[in-house]
Amino acid sequence: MPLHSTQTTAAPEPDLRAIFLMYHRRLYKVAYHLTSSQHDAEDVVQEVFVRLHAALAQFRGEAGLSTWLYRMTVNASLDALRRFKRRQKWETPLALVVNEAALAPENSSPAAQIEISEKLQAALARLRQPFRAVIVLRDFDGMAYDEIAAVLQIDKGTVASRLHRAYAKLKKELEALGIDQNYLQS
Amino acid sequence: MKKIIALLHRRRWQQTLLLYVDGELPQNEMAPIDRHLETCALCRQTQSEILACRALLKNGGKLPFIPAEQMWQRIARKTMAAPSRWQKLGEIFSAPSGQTLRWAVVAGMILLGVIWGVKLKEGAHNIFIDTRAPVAAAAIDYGIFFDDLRRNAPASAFYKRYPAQIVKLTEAQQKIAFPLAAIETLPDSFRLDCVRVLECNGQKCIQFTCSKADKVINIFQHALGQAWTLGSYAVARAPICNVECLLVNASELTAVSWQGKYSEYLAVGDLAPQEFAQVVQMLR
Repeated sequence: MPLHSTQTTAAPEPDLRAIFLMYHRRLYKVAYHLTSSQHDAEDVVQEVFVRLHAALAQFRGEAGLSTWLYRMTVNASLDALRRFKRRQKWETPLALVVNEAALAPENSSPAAQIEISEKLQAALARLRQPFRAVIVLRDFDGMAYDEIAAVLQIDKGTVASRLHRAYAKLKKELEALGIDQNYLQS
Repeated sequence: MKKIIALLHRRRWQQTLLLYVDGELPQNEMAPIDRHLETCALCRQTQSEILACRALLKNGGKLPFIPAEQMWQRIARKTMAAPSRWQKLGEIFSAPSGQTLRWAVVAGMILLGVIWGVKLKEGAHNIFIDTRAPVAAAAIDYGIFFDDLRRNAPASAFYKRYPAQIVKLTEAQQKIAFPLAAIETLPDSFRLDCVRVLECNGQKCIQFTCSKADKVINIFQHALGQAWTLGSYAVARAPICNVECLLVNASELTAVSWQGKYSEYLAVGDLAPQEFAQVVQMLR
């Protein structure tokens, strides 16, 4: 292999480092959108990789590893959400610090953009955890239904059903917060 | 009762519509829905609501800066609490029963030193032959390419150093001396945008620029043994689809390198691990 300059970080296990490099961003994204907190998302990702270190021997190649990592991340995020619910209530909502330029109508003021982003965050936060989990995996991570089913250990039909209900509830919440049909379709 | 049944039917139908929008339905079930949507305004309205909701979520999914290195250091500290291989080796040496072993190793090293000294005196410098190929002065340095990507700058510095010629896919094979990658075997979701022939030190390699959704992926194909480097970027090794791969991750930039049957590959792009696995699987 003609690689002449390689600075491999050896500690603590080369394989764990490689897996971290491959997955940390995706797992962080899932944890972040589920917990709405940067701090909690970091904790979740660390916890998942510390658990993986202990369980690394049971994985051969790629088989099952991805699903395991996502499952651990979702479970740890939902645990964190339960544990820190009270604290989270007072934190600045961050999960949907919205890409305002893309989200808000072109002529709206910065104040209006911030308002919309806050409303979107509030609407998502009001969804029950199972609905929030399917939306995060599907819309923020781009997973296929089969993959979501494997991660959440439910069947594909349930994924479709939860997603459908999640969108319906999200739409209701957004409408209740003043983001109406016309805006959604603009 | 009729109302309940109608409600269940409606809910089932809306789920089917969601599966249709996501492309999760079998092909033979898509056509009837296509036809229905042409005539039913209500379903078209539901479909557009789903798409609007999707777009809103997609645009809202912006991530903050991820402190990857700090997270890794904390993970490393936590996992280091378990004794490493070197610590275990140290324990063997420090144990009373390891005394003999320790002296044997010291004696072996002294003997090796003496033999090396004698050989050097005889002029046989090649007691340890460096079997690695010498670093070619003009090896392709993908560190430059990565630097441009991280700065969101066009890869002008890279192409200035390594002249590139845009060619048609059908002409690419004539330019290189190794079998061209079967790039068309990648799933339809990967769209081939551009094929370039790069030249360095008299040798040529191929660059395929593809796009998937909004993401761009560059796949470089080299002859086996062609010299190239990743500059000072750190790499780690891991198997993907049972292929030994080198992984590079510099904050948001991700690259994977692997060796195929006739050539070596380097794929660079902001893809999900599953998407990289697809590429490795197809171009192995």
